Amino acid sequence: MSNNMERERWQRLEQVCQAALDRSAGERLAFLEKACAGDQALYQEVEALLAHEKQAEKYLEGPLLGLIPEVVESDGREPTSASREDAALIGQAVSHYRILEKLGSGGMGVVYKTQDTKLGRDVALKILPGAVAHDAERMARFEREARTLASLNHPNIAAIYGLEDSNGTRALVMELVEGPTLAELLESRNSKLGTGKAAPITAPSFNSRSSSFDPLPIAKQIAEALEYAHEHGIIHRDLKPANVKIAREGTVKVLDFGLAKVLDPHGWQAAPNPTHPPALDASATETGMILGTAAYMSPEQAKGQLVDRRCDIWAYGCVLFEMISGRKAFAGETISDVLAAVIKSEPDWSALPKTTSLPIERLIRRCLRKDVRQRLQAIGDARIAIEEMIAGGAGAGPVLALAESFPVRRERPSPRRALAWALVGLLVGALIGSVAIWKFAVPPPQPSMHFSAVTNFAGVQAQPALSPDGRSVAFVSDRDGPYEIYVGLISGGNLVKLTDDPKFKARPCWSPDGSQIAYARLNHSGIWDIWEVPALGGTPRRLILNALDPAWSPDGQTLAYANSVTGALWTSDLTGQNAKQVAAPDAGSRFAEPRFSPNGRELAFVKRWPGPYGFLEVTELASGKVRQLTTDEALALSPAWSPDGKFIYFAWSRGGTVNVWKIAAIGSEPVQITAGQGDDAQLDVSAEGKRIVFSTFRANTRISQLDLERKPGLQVLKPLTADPARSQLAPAYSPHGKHLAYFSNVKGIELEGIWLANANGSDPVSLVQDRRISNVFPHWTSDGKWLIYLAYLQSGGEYRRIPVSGGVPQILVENRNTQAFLFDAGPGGRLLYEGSNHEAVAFDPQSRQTQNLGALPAGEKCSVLRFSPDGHLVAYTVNAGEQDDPKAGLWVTDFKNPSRQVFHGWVVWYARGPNREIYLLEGKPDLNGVLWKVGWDGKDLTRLSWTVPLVHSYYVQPGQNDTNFFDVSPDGRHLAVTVESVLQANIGMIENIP
Amino acid sequence: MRTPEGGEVTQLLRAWGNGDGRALEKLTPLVYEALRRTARAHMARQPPGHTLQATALVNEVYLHLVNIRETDWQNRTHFFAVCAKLMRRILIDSARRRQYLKRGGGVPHVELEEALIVSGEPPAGLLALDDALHALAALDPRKVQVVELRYFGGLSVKESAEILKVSEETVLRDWRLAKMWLLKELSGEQQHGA
Repeated sequence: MSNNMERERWQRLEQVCQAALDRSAGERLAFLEKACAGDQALYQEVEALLAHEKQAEKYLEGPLLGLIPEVVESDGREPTSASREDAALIGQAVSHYRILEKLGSGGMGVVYKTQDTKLGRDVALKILPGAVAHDAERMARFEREARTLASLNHPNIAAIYGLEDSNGTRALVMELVEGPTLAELLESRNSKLGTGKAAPITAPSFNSRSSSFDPLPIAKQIAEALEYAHEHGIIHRDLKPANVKIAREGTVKVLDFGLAKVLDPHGWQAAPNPTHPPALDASATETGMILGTAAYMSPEQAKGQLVDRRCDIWAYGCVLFEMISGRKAFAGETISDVLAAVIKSEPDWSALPKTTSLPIERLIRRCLRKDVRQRLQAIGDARIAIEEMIAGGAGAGPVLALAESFPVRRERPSPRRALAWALVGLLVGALIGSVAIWKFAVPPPQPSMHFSAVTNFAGVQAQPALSPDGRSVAFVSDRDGPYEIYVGLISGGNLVKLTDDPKFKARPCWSPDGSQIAYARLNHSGIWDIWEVPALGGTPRRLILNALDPAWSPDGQTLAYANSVTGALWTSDLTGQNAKQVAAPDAGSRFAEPRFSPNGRELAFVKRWPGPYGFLEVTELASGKVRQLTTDEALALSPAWSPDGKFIYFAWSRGGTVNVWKIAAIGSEPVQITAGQGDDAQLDVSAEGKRIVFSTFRANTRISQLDLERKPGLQVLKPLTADPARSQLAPAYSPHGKHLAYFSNVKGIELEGIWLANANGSDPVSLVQDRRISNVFPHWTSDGKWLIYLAYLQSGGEYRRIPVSGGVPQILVENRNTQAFLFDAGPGGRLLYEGSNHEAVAFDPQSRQTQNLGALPAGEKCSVLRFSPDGHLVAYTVNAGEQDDPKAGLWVTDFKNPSRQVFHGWVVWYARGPNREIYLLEGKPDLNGVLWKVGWDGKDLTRLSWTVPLVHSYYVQPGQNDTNFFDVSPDGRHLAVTVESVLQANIGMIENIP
Repeated sequence: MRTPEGGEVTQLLRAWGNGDGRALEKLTPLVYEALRRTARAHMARQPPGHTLQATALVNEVYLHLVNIRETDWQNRTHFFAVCAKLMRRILIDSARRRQYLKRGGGVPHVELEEALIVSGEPPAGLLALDDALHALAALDPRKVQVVELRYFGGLSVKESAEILKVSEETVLRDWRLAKMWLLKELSGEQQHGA
């Protein structure tokens, strides 16, 4: 085969293959059979390629390579000496960290003092062992964990600032704590006293207030650090004097929280293997480290059993014992000896000085009980005991009764709640199938506003909702294709997919107890229903029919939502009983996104108008009084209350792009909080009011061409308009088919205008440009000389016309109907639109007369009126009033005889074809709209093979007829259709919001 | 840490960016040498078990070689495009040597420099990948470029798109198909070999 032939063959192969990849698995087989019709070889080649699709996702995605010095060292060369390594590193830079000096090393990596040249502060950099840094899976796990650790914020815990992996080595950036470790202090104390390491130390030198080494304040601070971490679900696992730093003024900083778990080479789940306790294998070469660790290891750790917070309590007891007695609680010549002592022997209690107070001794004894069930259960109890001793004058003080020393603490999470979160943790850990690495959000050192990305994926991650405890976020994403509800920890980690069906879903929101997530799901009638799914995963169930935008009342008993059809606000209980309409919108507007105030007495919501307009409003539930908070002709979205109920955060398009704003709930001048390129919308505020999550959107539509003559299988939508920074929509072919008119805007903001281009999209020129009002929906007059369009005003619409050659627009007629602004231009340039009284109005531009053609069916949502080609008939759509509404569909009437339903179902849009047929797009809940052809008499209904992706960007709700506007070319060969060009969203977070 | 050739590299990048094809010829050995030298330096100071990623290496070389103040992002992407190609060459050369030494009976004394840059991939896998890429180049050179930039150069989709002057979507589509094709090709080889 010649080179050229081979290339041609390849191009064909690629074309078919890419097209197949663009299709869902279900559609592929049929597609391939068609596309490869008769070419068996091609079919097989494509199949062979597609067979590797799944494998290819991960292929070549990992780190490419490394320099692996072991290769050299294993050849018997001298290993580079440690000092040489250190010397080589000093003065070097890792990213923007300049290495100043080595602080220490251990199995968990070498720690350097470095200068953060960006922030101008000194930090500690722990360079991770290669075994961790280059094991992708372990690194991923480590990153996840590190994010959790980074969330710890306590004066006695050395903070983790972030993970640096940009410069070859992977390193943990930590708070630099200058000062000796407790291990060093104990050692120097021992040697100063000249008693040797194992000799008991008399109590007075320790208990003396004047001494720089006072065990009780140190013990208290360690306990506080552990208590805080345990409350956040984090176990230290490797507490020992070497991990406790005593900084200036006696402040204790506990280091390396949780790192033992993530740096353990066998993973974080200890294998139940008593002969090889996992932690012991961590670095078999560093015997000293292991001895050091083994001495503080709990019996259950030493046995390789699963551990919980009580292993820290054990280690705490060991440290306390050592501080008081000057001896290790468990010691031995070899690791086996030490471990044997841990498992079998009691510490030498006689080593405790005789002056040791009884409560201290009891505390230590309780901490060092081998049976975990008999051990002190909560470190907070130790903290209380020590605080009481400090208050009472330490060892010299009165001997406290045990009952007083260990009072039951009042504020505990309810067992059910604790269990729920434990289960979430398990689930999150178990669902490795949906692993995703979340971008590392580093908490800021100072409380200035701080932005970080919570997700950073392709596609849409949107509509984030924070769990009541603020640790998790629920959101919708199309990362696996269909839009599903996901939950993940805000600090990162695995994602749990809660739903699994192809129907479009929106607006997850947590029940106040965190157990359920409500969301809206689109049904086949183009109507939304509210569903609920357990936050831990489970079977979704439908709560409310015909409703969307669920919001839970603070007591969890009531749901507020918008009626999917009428746009009215309702409340009801969770079963849909006791439903009450809270507020009904004016004709033409809809209410959306209700949110209960923290006291449950008010609802904030958005009043949406057709087009990119919406006002922020609040209604008082008891009185029904409504106050409007914003008045700009801009789009307000997604209100969220501050926890004190004084402010409402919301998204707003004032100034051009949608950003997060804040306004007083009683009304005030809004304050802008975010600024930037994308649209920040769909926000949620954390329970403590410090954080906002939101999604940043990039969403635009363009006009694409569908070739009606090509084989359906190979159909690809060919873009006709190309400016991804703007939306182009509502195309209209000129009568001769040579040109296209459409309107364009910037993400639905004020500046809108009418454009004209060749039918292939080339040479676009702006015909109408108006910075004050929207000029939309161009239609051609049949002579092709004028464009008629709607100038959209708040009071209604004005139909205008402008010569195609350019010139001054003329006002044709006003339409005061604010609800129905769509119109048609039929034969003779007659306009057709819906009047204010739900009637079809025709306007003749020659005579300038309007004519009432007849009433449209009362009580039904009619829209998109169109003349038949001869102008004798009028078609209109009826939107479903409820699921499976038999009236939903396309109707044709002559206003004399009863209307005829020519199509039954959810009609997104339709247009006249050239040969007395109607092309219509039927909506589907999976957002793959189906094209149909039908005669004006309802005959010859034909399903066409093409699907059109439904427009569903965040300010358009599927189910309304203002999405995939299309037109058929006069020769019947093409469809120009509005589709999404860019639709991307990721979730961001702002901390320390003002 | 600016090296003497820093200014030269900046000049050459600019010249190349302005369409001077010869600049690339002069640039290549400079960058190649810098990559090896930087890798060697890392060797000396890394504790055992540490490895260095290609991207990190390239970044570091860039920081050393190029006068950032006098250059712009276009130079940067050009530079990374060169590096991506070079990384592939260095890796493949290294894999060949290792493969050769293996066949020669063990690895008694690998020269430091020879062992410097090794892939996480076994040499055989890397060489097979290289062969497959050569085969792909005959059919579709741009896909090979995408693989070089993305895999060997560690560049993002956006950066790759900038260098290739195509859309990000095209890069993604090329990348996806190239990987599938390579996998198909490589799995075929294994079958033949078995």
